[in-house]
This record gives sequence, C-alpha cells and structure tokens, in this order.
Amino acid sequence: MRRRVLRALAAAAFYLALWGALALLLRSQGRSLLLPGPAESFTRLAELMGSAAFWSYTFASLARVTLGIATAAAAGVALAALCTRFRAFDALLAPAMSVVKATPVASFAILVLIWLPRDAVPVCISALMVMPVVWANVRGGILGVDGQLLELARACRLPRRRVLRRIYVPSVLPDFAAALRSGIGFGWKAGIAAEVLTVPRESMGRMIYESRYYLQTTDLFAWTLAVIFLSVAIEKLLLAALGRLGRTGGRENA
Amino acid sequence: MLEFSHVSFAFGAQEVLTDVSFTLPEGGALAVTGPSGCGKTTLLRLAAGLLEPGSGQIRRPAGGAAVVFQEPRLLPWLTAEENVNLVLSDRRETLPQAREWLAALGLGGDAGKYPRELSGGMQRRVAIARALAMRRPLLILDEPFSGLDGELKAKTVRLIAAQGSAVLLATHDGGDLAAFGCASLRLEAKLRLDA
Repeated sequence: MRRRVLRALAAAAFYLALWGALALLLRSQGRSLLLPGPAESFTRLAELMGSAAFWSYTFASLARVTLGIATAAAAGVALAALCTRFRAFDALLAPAMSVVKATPVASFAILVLIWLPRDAVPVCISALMVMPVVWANVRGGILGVDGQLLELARACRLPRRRVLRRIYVPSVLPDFAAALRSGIGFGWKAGIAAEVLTVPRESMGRMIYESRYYLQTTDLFAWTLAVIFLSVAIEKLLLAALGRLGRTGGRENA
Repeated sequence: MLEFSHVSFAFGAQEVLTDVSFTLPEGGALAVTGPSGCGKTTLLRLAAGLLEPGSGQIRRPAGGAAVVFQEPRLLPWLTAEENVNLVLSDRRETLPQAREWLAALGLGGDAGKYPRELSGGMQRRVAIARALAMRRPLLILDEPFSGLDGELKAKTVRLIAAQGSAVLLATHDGGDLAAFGCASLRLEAKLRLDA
C-alpha cells in the first residue's frame, strides 16, 4: 500500500517536473503565454478557490453533470430492461445507440442548443454520452443472468418482485457499476465540453471559454486543474459507494 | 397426487420420453432410475411444471412442487439462511424458521456462511433445507444425496419422510431406493418405460 502511494507520488513528481521544465524553456524564449508553470497554475487555482464565484460555478457545473449522469443511469437501465424483454424494441434501439456513441459531443451540443435552453445542454449531453454505456452494460448483464437461478425461481414460484430484487439486481449490479465507473469520467468531460461550447451563465465551462478568449492561460490551466481534481474525486467517491454495494450483493460475492 | 398419462417429450427431433404413465399417490414415493441420458431429469422437470409434454397429460398436485436440482443452485450473494428464507417470506421475521431447517440438516453453525464458504455436500443440504421449508405436497429430488455420507443421508431421508410429502426422485444409487422404501420406475437408454 505504502509502496503504491510512493510510486504514484513519484509519477506525479515526474510529470510536474516535466511540465515545469517545459514552461521554463518556453519562458526563456519569451513565449510564457503558451504554457504557464505548475507553481503559477496551482497558485491561481488557490486564489480562485478563495472566491465565492468559484464554488458557485463549480457547484452549478457539478449539478448539471450529476443530473445528466443520473438521467443516463435511469434511462439506460429502463431501456436495457425493455430491450431484453422485447426483441423488436432491441432491434430498433441498437442502431440508434451506435449512432449516439459515434456522434461527436460538439455536433450534439450545437444541435441541442437549438432545441433546449443553454443551461440544459450540458445535462442533455452528459446524459447522451453516458446512456449508451449504461444501456450496453446493463443489457449484457440482464442477458447474462444465470438461467439455472431463473429456473429455480420458477420452480419455487417466487414472486416477480423477489426475483427482481434477489436475482436480477445482484446479477446485474457489477455490470451497472462498471458502466458508471467508465461513464462518470466520460460524462463529466462531455458536460464540461458542452459548457465550453454553449457557455451557460454560471459554469466552469464558461470560465474555461473566457480564459481562452482573453488568452489568460494561467486561468485556463487553473480551471482545467479544478475539473481534473473534481473528476478524480467523484470517481473515488463513486468507487467507494459501489465497493459498499459490492459487499452487500452482486457477483463480487459469487 | 401426481399422474403421468401416456406422456411423451422430445427436444426438437430428439425423442427423450415415450409413452410414460405412472401415478404417485399423496405421501407416496417413487424413484426414477436408469442410465445417464435416459431422460430422468427431463421427467422430473415435467413433473415440476418446468416443461410441458409434447403429448399425453400430467396432473400435478394443486399445491405445487418443491425441487432439489442436481446442482444446489444457491444464490451466491446470499448466506445459507437467506437462501432458505428466500422461499419463505424473504423477510427478517422468517429467518429463525430458515435457521431451524438448516439446523435440522446439521448446518446450524453455518447459517451465516455464503455458498462459497460451504463444501459441495453442505451446499446440497442447504438446497434440501430450502425445498423442505417450502412444505409442498410434492418433493422432487434429482440425485439428492451425492456428496452426503451414510449418516447424513439417513437423517435427511428421515426428515423428508416426516414431512409427509409425496417424493419423486431420480437416482443412480440403489441405496436410495432402499432408504425411501419406494417403488421404482426404470427408464431405458432407448427412452422407453419398461417397468
């Protein structure tokens, strides 16, 4: 454990040193605008964190992306259940999901901006990017439920609700967790990208956009660092929550 | 009462059972014997209502059947007592009842263990406890005693007999017939009933 932490710290130190060296090199050539150093970026981030606006924008972005991912999770599970129940619906939905997966975030964001208010676009984009992942994993999980256990449930005449709670949910939970694990980072990045493109009034994306617009590269790096830290924090929190779920059910106990 | 009347069954073109007839009265016991692949498990699944015959008729007891499959089929994410409780109310209130069934089969100290922590024989006993806990008028057992030693087997047979359900079992072991003191129905590899 200690060795793992030391290794991670060493890797982080290496990349910080590389970043610092490149920034120094560019500064010596009078092109410091291209790449601010790590010290400047972290200092700027600390300054930003001291302002109420930073937290207000951060929570607004976080709320949008969380709503998007939650919507994707609910819709993905519901659609997966329908697809495994009705073959015709599955045949109809599968190509649509492939199209959604292949469409660039920018195309969606611009298109959705025509239909929806500015604030709703990042929610919609996060949901659209995460839903196919949840749908595919949960669909696979449902189709993979042990047929012998389902036959046992039939033989025992177990009520449908009990079959769902005791067989389907624990069987599919690891697939759902895996989908969220990969989907959360994806949804967060897509949501912020959509904010940069649509510039909602209060958002981290707007701050990134303005930093770029006014060539404030230190601010751009500071906001990007905030996005990265939040992404890692959310992923860790989710993994902890899913780890707890894994201990109470799911294939981890198999 | 379980009654098979001229029952035939096929998986596609492969005929498995042909013109099988027998009657198992309430509280009676019948062993289905025969070589591997002769259709014993298929006959049991027909009796349980998990398959429907291609032709002929099956009359099953109104209260349904409890089945012990060849594999224990325990839910790996539930403990032994939760697996038994699954067929009761699946609520906390019936857990003591589930524990009693496990204790009756010598698993009182293992009620809180997950299937992966139990040996094959212990898992089989949990499956038997689960079937007994259902208290159905018909008990269907597919090779129920593999992995159980003589003493445990005798104890299990006594418990089953005490419940008073009709018993339909598939077995390779002549000892099982003696233990239940039951008639046998022999299926041949050619899938015809000759006894």
